[in-house]
Amino acid sequence: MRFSLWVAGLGLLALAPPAPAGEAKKDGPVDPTKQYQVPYRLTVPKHILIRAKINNKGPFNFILDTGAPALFVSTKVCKKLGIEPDRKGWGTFDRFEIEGGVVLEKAKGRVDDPFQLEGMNGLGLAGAELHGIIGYNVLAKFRMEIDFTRDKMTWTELAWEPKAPMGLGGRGGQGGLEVFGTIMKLVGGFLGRKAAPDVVPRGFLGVDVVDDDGVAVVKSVFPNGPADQGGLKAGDRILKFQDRSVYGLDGLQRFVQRVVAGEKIVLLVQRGDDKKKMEITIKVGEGL
Amino acid sequence: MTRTKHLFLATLLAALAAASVRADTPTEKRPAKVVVPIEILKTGHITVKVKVNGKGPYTLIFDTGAPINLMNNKIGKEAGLLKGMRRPAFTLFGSMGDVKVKELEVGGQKIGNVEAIVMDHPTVKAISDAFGPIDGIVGFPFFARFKMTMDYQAKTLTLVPNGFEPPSALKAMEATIMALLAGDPGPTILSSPGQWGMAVSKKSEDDDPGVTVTKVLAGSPAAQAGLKEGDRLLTLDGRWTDSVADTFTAAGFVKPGTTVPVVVKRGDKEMTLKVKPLSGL
Repeated sequence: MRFSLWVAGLGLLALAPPAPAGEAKKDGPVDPTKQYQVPYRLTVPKHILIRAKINNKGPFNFILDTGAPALFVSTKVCKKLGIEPDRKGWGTFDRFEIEGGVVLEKAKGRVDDPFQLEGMNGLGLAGAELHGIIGYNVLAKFRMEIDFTRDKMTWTELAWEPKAPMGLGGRGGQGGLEVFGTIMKLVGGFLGRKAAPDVVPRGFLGVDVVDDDGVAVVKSVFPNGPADQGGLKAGDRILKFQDRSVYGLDGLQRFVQRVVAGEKIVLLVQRGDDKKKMEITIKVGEGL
Repeated sequence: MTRTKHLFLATLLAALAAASVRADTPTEKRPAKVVVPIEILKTGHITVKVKVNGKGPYTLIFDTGAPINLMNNKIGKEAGLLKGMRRPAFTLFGSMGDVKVKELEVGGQKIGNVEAIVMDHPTVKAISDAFGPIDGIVGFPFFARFKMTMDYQAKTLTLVPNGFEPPSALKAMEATIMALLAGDPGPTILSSPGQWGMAVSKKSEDDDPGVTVTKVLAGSPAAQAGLKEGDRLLTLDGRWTDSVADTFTAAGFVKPGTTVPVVVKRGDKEMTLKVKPLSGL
């Protein structure tokens, strides 16, 4: 088995049954007011992940995929929302809201679990649980500007109704590639992997720090915050974090990024004109 | 871990360890902006014309969901992608694994030394049989290098170089799988580079949108923006904050020193406040 072979299957989908036709809308000029900033992030396999709420529930995670002919929503999500597919496997989503303010009424989508998603969820490969794919029948309604040097996309609503995508009859399958989804799911099962990792928020010190020529220097301490209660003062130069040398603001941030609320940390600081070194113990709090 | 598990994983890893082929210095050409015509197939897929190492043009599916470029064995042979490679005795879908393409060109935008895999993808073939010939997929390693604007109505793809150097999806996935073998990594810690000076929380039975602001530190960026304890935080810089984790994720995108909007609900009123986080901890 070649890994790249499995990867190749990611993304490209074809429909077996055809899509129901959408409501007719006349072609016309684009309304520039219908422009949205759609936040996204890239997953580990470099998929564009966007979030959507369906009938005000969620948010759910979707991959933006021009290689998919339609919207796909997992059977698990549809079951939870009480959305029943029709005889041909299509569901109607009364209110489909994409993060950034895009709202689609009565969106049509496949109620289905493409093997690509099952595989990635099985192994926890994406770093988030994936609930579906947003493809042509939704995407084609927008002019999309995608630029990975920005953290949001710009979507402009177009004044046309794209034609419903056609199926490939019996040939809409994956031609055997789906076995890789099953394998990934199995391996994930062996390892007890979850689709999404457990997350905890970083702890909070309540201190404004600047970088002074490679040294992290406390600029101010919020009154009654954890750092204040621990005795840290403005002007303190932070030399060590838990006995490890701190190199500037970046270095300090790297250490603190791994600290969660409730932990105790010890900082070695240099204070005042006489450069007295002292240890400060801070009980890390909650917040950001 | 049982022995069976070990064997299974070792086999999987062996399969992963595909060495990349090194190519020569890339030939790159990046005009400021090109507008490329796209064709929308009846299946809803879009195609573009592509030249591979100067051969072609070939018709390829343009796929934002593809982490890698993919070409069939026909392109592989004609464009010399398989030089020096021995066809394995057994391979699925004619897969020849990953190669480096010296030059990939879409509408005058040329990029060099780019990852691709050579294989006869069954879905590409099915679409090709109906509307063909279609010989592969253009994916992330190409389009990530551009600000791209896709317009299905005008049937155009506009490509403007953006200086982004895409990381390798293959390597990222391999690293993730390697990490799997090292055992449970523990929870991921969500971090924000900025200092906001507030705390938020949400009870597990609370299903409503947003999180509740439980603490605003005096003098902090949150306090200066007018946030108050008890506010319901709905979005932060345009991202939903329906859980504490989502709030940290949203804050994680905001660089210290930039001013971003936050939407809160106070009583029945929704309001947008502007917060400028500091570089703190």
